[in-house]
Amino acid sequence: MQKIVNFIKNNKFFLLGFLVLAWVIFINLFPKGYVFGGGDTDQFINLKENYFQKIFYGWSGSAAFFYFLFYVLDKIGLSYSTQLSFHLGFIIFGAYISFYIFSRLIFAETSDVSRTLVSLFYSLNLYTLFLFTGNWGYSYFPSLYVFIPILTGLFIKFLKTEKFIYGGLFVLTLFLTSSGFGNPAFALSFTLFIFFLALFLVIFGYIKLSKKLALKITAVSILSLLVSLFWILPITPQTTSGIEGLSTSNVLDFDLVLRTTSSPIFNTLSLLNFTGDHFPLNFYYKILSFLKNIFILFSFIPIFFVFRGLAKFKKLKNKNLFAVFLSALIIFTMLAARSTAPFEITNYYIFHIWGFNVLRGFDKTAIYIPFLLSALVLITIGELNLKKWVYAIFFVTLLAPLPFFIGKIQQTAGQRVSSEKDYKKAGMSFLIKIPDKYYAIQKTINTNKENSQIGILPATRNDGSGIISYPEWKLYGVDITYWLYNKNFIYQNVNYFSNWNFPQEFGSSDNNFDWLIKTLGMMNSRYIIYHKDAPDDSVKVTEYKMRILEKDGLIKNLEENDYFILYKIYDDYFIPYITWQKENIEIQPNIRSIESNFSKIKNSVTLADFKEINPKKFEVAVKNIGNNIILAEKYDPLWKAYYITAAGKELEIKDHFLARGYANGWQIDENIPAKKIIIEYYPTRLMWRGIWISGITVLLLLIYLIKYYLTNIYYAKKIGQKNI
Amino acid sequence: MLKKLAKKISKKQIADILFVAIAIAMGFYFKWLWPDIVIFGVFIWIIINPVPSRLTAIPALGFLIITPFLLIFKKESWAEQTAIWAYYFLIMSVIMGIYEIRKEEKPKKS
Repeated sequence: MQKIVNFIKNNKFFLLGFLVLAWVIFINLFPKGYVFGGGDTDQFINLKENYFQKIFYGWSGSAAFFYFLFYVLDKIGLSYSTQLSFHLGFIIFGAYISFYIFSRLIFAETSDVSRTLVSLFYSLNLYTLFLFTGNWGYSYFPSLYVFIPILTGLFIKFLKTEKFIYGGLFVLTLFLTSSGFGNPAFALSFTLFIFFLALFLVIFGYIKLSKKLALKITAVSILSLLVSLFWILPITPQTTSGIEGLSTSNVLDFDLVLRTTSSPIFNTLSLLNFTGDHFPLNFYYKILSFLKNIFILFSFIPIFFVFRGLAKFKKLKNKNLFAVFLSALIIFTMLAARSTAPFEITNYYIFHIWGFNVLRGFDKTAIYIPFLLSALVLITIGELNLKKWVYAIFFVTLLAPLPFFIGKIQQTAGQRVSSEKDYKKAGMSFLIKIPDKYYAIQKTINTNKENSQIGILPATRNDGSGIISYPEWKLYGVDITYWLYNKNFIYQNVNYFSNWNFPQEFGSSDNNFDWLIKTLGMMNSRYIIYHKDAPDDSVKVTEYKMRILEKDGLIKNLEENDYFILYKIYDDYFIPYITWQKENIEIQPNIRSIESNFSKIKNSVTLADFKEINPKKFEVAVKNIGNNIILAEKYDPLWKAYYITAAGKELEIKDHFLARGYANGWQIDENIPAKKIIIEYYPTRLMWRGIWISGITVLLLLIYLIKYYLTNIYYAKKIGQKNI
Repeated sequence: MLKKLAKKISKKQIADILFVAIAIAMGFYFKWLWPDIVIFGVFIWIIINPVPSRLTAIPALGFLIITPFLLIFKKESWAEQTAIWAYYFLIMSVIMGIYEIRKEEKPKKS
């Protein structure tokens, strides 16, 4: 008991910070029955069913750690709205603890009050408010935000003390941070961040480069690479083609993206979001609107502190570190400014360096600004013997992200509802309620274990990114119903065929509609979810056509309600997932080609006898049935097929072609005596190789850390106690 | 008179003035705004003749203090401009900081 009392006494400020954060979670609890959806990120629900298929294998290991937490929460039966609160808690508590640890590591002499105040600022500021009143906060990207301080602290400590224990802990933390690099652009920006920190640490004389230190840095860099291989390896082939694609894409588009994500210097330094859509520039509270300007002023106080520290630079004990963080702030402010003055030309050249174009999103560089500001503020208020009223001012500044404290960050202050101030009344909202009817058909679809997909109709207007619109329940963004079923979707707004969006053509074509079912059936769709909750103009031109197809006996109506009709495609029009096909019948991206070739394809295919090793790997038994084997997945050169000979030798099948106008086909050489054929998504193979390498590295690191703990801490304590 | 003045000005000072003059000329050539030309001139001058970092930090702080008020009074473009000047002086302060840190280190070494 005494121990607990002492612990509370010794950590009272830290624990007070916890209370503040607990209040934030409490006041912002998400409404029961709602999920987060909209924009290009959404809440990943039903992970107990889909984690391995759609996240672990579907994303080749990226963000697997982060969503594993939600898999566990889903497994133990936590509701989706509670999972949202957990998500918020994970980020704000994580950021608070992480910054606190950073300050203990690097600024051990700072008072607990300063430490707590600044850690709270790092956790609750206008940047994190922007994340959580918008939609970015509810993705996996902000998990990097949590780990930035602790990674920086361990890195600096390692360079300063040259003790490998800090390097080891850095590598291990980096391993846990991997989900934050689910978008590899963040990995590049983090590498830049660490590089600049190291450079400035040398320039400002905080560390001295020696041969020994250079060797240690090399060792830590290699270990960092090894623990990251499990996510780096699978994305290597995709990233290479992605960056090349971006480099050769329309430069005007890229420059437009840069322009629209530019954050002027005053926005970046004050953390006021440059779009003006977020608090306090967009002031949600009408009763308090007279306070708007006060809150704008509040947002500048942290940077005032930094400039005040600068004016007293000579008096600072940690002036080297102050200069290091300030220099990094200068660099990242410049990068966040993109095409605003005075960096129009500089940034044009920087962002056109090969590979740097992936940093085009605002967050990629802005994510480091709150940390740099916090570190600088900590040095200033920690060292300048400021008077009590200065602390009071900083305390008031913590109120700048007001919606965190008075709620509700999505219900009333959410980006989409802020004009209405009520998520139930607003025409659009990120908080949505998936109609129960969508859950009701889970049983029908999920109990069907055949490898097949679901066609989604009708096509709706969208911004070109493939997002959907179901205004009946306010969804505009990624289709969240995808997570309810254990089958993949053939989306209505995505081009599977070259330059041909067939659901769109379905809306505009007039005469015979059979081709639609033939197309979807050929694409391995067993079901169709026809959305009656799509915009009226889309429904008007398609619903009657679906009724005709139903009447003509091509599809069976399994369930109909106000939101959708669930159809089943009859066997006559359905082609299984992996099939043998006698000859390669070319399909052109048009209706006529489908009409004239569907029967030929249907008559020339035979179901392959295959076993699913994992959702991205299949073992097919070879029986001389046809010359081609077809996989009903969108064509991707990274799908590979291999002969497995009787001796167990693996030979890649080189003749990989575009089958049926969209899918993957391989021509089989009958002269090769293959026992079976393996079809595998190459990044998955690379992921497993990476998992082995990263796993072994982490295991060795853990052994080292445990040994270090036992010899230097545990036994040392025991010996100390004996001596006493 | 001129001869006396010429005797008082050292070669280094002449070189310094020349550098600043070139900087100002560059500003005119690239058609910068006059405050930018002045700031660039100051920048070149203090690179050659370092000053205590607080001397550059104070104008930085001054410009930064003005910025939110301009923003409140809906003068966004002015606010952007003062923030840019604050940023320039911030860079100068950091560079002066390097001088100060190096200066402090030298006596330690000796």
